[in-house]
Amino acid sequence: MNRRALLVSAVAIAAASGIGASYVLNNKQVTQTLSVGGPFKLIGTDGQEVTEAAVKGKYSLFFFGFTFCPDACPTALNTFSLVLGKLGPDADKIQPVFVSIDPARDTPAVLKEYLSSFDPRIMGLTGTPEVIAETAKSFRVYFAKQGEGEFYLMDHSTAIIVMNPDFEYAGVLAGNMQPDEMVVRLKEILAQGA
Amino acid sequence: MTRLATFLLACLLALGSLGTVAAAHEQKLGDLVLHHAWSRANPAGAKSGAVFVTIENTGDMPDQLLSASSDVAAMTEIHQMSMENDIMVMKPAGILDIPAHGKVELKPHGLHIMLMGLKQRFAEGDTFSVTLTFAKAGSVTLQVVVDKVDAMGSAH
Repeated sequence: MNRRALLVSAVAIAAASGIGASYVLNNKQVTQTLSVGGPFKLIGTDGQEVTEAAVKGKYSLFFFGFTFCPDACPTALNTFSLVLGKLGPDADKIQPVFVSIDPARDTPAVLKEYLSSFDPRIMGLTGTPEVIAETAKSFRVYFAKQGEGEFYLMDHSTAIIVMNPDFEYAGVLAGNMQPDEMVVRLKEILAQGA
Repeated sequence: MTRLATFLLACLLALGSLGTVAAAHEQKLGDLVLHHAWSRANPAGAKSGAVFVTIENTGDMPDQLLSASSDVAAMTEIHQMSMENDIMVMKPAGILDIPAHGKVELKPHGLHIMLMGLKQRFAEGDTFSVTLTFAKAGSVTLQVVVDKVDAMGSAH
């Protein structure tokens, strides 16, 4: 595992512990030194260019995954869908984003079809392999191709990176967090930002 | 398949094997008991899926799960998903040992039968077949029941 994977892992473990998450969220010094996330230029599900401008003004939740993923990715997207429903009016302040780390398979059309099974407010993004690699790097997200041929898989970080409305790093949530717990965490984050 | 048809099929399966509608389905193959094979409804266009089942060996001799196959996918393999810190890692699991008087659970976030190149989309309540081949016990065709998209199997 490389260094950035370890860093994200450390952050994710802190988030999973609960105390660590609020520490990270409360302590701006800690969050700023991490420098997670940055400007991006990706492609949306209609083939349009999408930059960080599209998520500014809301708390955005970045999950990196791929549609050929049988377990963690649909679970996380389903969690996003349930969380948006449970948040009620506060859902307007949240923008979940699914970034494909498998652009060879995940064209805008493939992503669009896949995401049609989940809440329509989830934003799907893909891009060229180079741009995806740069974006994942800036978000401290690790991914690696596993296997060859038609049925290769992708190993990837399942952490959910939270960016604030100014598109600054605001924390990390465990990718396998239960919907109710995520709602609580997001309400905490929203309360701090208010 | 309609919900009613699925329900009736589930009833028939339950009546046939256990004589009670309420019990989760199980299938026997020699000393092996296969408890509740299930999968999840999958998103539109999904090209992969996973099947979960608990394999219990009631016999005195160990067995091995050699392979899995299914008509619903272009390729079917036994895979192991693991979380290394927050990194999801998935790889073929190879041959699975089924210890004597032991149990191997294929469940979310762990061992699973990976369906690759799915030929159809599964909705909750659908059923399909997966054949498992064991070194000693031979082959068994499992009736896999499709659960919700986010099912974790704990309800069964």
